[in-house]
Amino acid sequence: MYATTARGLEATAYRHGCYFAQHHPGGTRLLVLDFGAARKITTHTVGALDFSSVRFSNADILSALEAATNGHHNCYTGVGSTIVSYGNSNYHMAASGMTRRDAWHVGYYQSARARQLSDYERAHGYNRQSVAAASDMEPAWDGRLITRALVNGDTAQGWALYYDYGSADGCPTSGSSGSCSNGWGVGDVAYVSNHGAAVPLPEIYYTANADQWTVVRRWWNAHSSHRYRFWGTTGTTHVGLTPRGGWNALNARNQGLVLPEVNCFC
Amino acid sequence: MESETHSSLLIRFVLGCLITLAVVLLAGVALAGSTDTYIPQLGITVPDDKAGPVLHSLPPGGPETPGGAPVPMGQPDRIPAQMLAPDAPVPISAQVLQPANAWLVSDGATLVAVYAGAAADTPSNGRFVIVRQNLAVGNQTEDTIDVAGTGLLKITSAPIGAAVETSAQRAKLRFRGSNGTAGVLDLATDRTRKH
Repeated sequence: MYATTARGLEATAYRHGCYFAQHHPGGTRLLVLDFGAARKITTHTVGALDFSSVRFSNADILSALEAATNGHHNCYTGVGSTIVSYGNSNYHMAASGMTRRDAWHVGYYQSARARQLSDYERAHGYNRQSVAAASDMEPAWDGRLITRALVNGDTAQGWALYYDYGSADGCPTSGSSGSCSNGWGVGDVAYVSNHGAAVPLPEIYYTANADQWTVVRRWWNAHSSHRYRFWGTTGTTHVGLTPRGGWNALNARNQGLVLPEVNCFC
Repeated sequence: MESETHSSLLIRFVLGCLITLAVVLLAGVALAGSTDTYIPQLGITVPDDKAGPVLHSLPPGGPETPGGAPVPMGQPDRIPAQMLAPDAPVPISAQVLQPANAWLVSDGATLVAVYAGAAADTPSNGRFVIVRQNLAVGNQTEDTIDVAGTGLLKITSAPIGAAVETSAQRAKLRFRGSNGTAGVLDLATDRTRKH
C-alpha cells in the first residue's frame, strides 16, 4: 500500500477490494493487502511503515481493511469468496529499534485486528468474505528470532491464520537441511512458514525457489509428526516463472501437497 | 509427632495426587497435540493448533446481504515526486532485487514507484523494478528491466516535487551503475539507454 494519510489509505484499500471482487476468478481466493514493514509506532501502538515511508497505526490499518471489505461488497459480482488479509513484512524491524517482544506484539495484534475485521464482516452480512493475517517474511530482511516472534505473537493470540508469503532466500536447493541468508537455517524458514497458525504461501519466482521450498518441506517432515503442506504459491511477473509456472514447479516437486491458490504480486 | 506424621502423609497424598494429575494432563496435552482436525471445506486435515485459524479463514457462505456499503469520503493520496527515504520498505523480494534506492510519485489517479539496484541472482547486472498502480480502479502491474553489466544501479537524478505528479510518471530518470556506467531510464517506454 502507498499512502500518506489515513483517508488516502482507506480510499486506496476500498478500490483494491472492489477491483478484486470485480475480477474474482471463482472459488475462495486470498486478497493480501500489504501495509509494509511491521513497526512499533508509539510506546503502546504497533502498525506498519508503508511503502511510501509513512507510518500507520493498527487503528488506521483496520479502517483501511474495513474499507477494502466494503469495496469488495459493493463490487461483488456473485462469483467466489475472498479471504481479506492484513499483510506486512519483516523488513528491517530490528534496525528500526524493534525488539523481539515488539515483533511478537505486531503478530499478536495482526491476529486481533483480523478478528475485529471478521466481526465487522459478520455484522454487515458479508457472507462471501473472511479474514486472515499474512507476512512477507524473508531471511535477507531481518534476523531469524525476531521474525519467529511475528509468528509466535499471531499464534499466541490464536485467531487468525498467518500466511507466510515470503522467501527461502539463500537456502539450499537439495537435501533436507542447511543454511540460508542472514544466519537463518532451513529450520527457521520451516518454523515461520508452518509453526502454530502459520501456513506457507511461498514466493516461487524461479525454479530454484521450488527446489528450496522442497528442502524446507523435507526438513519439517523430518522433525515433526505433522506433514508439511503448501497453501499455494506467491508469484509475480517478468521473472523466471509466471505465477502459474511457479505453482506448477512447486507442485511437480511436491505432488498433491500444494493447495490451489496463486497469490500474485502483479 | 502424630500431627506431624499426619501432616506428612497429607502432604505426600496431595503431592501424589498433583503428580498424578500432572501426568494425566501432560498425557492429555501430548495426545491432543498429536491429533489432526479434518477441514471438510478444504478436504484436508490440519494440526489442532491450526484448526481454529483455518476455520476462521473460511467464508460462512450464503448470499451477500443486499445494500450498499459506505464509500470512503477521501481519495487516494497525491504523493509529490520524491526519492524514497533509505528506511522505506521495499515490496520487491530479496530474490529478485538487491535494492539501492527508489523513487515514487502519484497524482492520486495513477502511481509509479521505481526501485533501482541489481539482479539478485546476477549482481553484475543492474535492475529496475517498476510498480505501477491505477488508483482509480485499484489494480497494479510490475515491470522488471535489466541493464547488463552495470552492477548495482542507483537513480542519480529524477523529477522532484508536487508540480510534476502527473508528468513525472513518463519522465526520464538518470542512473549510474557501480561500474561507473551512466544512463537514462525512460518511463514512457520502460527502456534504458547507456551513455
